[in-house]
Amino acid sequence: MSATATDTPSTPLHDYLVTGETLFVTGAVLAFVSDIILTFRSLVLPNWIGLALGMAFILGTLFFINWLYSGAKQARLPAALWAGLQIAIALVGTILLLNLTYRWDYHFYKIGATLPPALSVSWVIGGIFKMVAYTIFLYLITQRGPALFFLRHRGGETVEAPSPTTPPEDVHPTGIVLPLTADQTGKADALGSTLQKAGFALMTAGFFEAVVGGQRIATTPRLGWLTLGEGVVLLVLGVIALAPVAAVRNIKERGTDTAYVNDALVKLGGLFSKQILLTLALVALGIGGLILRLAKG
Amino acid sequence: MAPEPTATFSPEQSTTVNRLATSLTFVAPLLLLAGFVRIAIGVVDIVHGQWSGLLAIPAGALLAFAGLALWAGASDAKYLHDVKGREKEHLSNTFDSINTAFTALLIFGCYEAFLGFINMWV
Repeated sequence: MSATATDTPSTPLHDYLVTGETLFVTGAVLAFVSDIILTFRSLVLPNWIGLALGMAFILGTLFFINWLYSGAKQARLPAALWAGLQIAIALVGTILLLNLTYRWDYHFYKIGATLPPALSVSWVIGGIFKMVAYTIFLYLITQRGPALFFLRHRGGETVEAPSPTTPPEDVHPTGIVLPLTADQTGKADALGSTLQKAGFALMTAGFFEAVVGGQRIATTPRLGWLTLGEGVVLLVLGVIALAPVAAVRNIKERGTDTAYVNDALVKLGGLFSKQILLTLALVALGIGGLILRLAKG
Repeated sequence: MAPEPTATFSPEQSTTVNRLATSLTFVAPLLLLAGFVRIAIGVVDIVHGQWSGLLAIPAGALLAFAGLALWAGASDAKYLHDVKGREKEHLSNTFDSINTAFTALLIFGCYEAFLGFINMWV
């Protein structure tokens, strides 16, 4: 816990930094161990391409962990992209392996036998573990919480000690207040509530649709994959809808300072910019389904 | 002569509002299109004798309605950016439009979740 050595022990800041460092190290170790397991599996098989790629993943992850640990702000985006790439590789490998086991779609049998071991994902449980581990790591280094707070503190960024009334990484009021009426702040609060409910509803819908798609792959592979894809898109749409909830609610709970209003608008802008891509995917999958139906008829 | 109304948002905050308006301008027609595609799928299914296609039409209508509400939201956000001195009203309208769109998406989510749950066992 070297990063916290300079802070006075047992202060809220010190405790928070220790929690942050512990969480960051735990996430990093989980990601690292998942690659070690899968690379060892490639060695036992043996699959030399998988082994070489697995070694590259281990070295890459070590490099990013080290870079992140230095506190460098510019390390966070490449590290997040690296974690995203690892999640995508684990996801593709695991799905192809599951397709081989459960015989969903014969189109992917051939590629399923060669690609996952070459991607250093030669074991379903290992692949799932890698996905979970890198997702936790990605969450820790991108979302406001003790781990990101610790990294920012290490990088020398101005961060305030968190307390029950001022959560970490908070928005700083500018002093310029937008004099909203109670009815107008109520609308912001209502929006936060609706976003939260819609997020959960879309996640549930996406989960069920993905399961239904998976069930149908064996009988109607193309429509099954399209339904599965739509389910995943709805699931992600639900997850991202939850992101602006806290910021939007702040307008009612913490005041109508333009900083809070701006923070809510930034988060809403982020939601909609991601929604553009997801809706595009939804349209593409829908058009694919429409073409399949027209071709069938 | 009436004094020029002053801007409540700083130039940086104003850029944020503009970015939101731009994002909404793109996402609204896409949601509308996604809704129409779903309705078209329902119609094609019905034409092919599959009455289950009827179930896709309300889902498509809800998606299209969400798109329309966000389109209104895009205009509100644009006014919020362009019209100085009336930020309160336009901010409130923007939140209102987004709220309406997400209420439609909430109903869409519940409807799709219900259909998905039933389809899992059929």
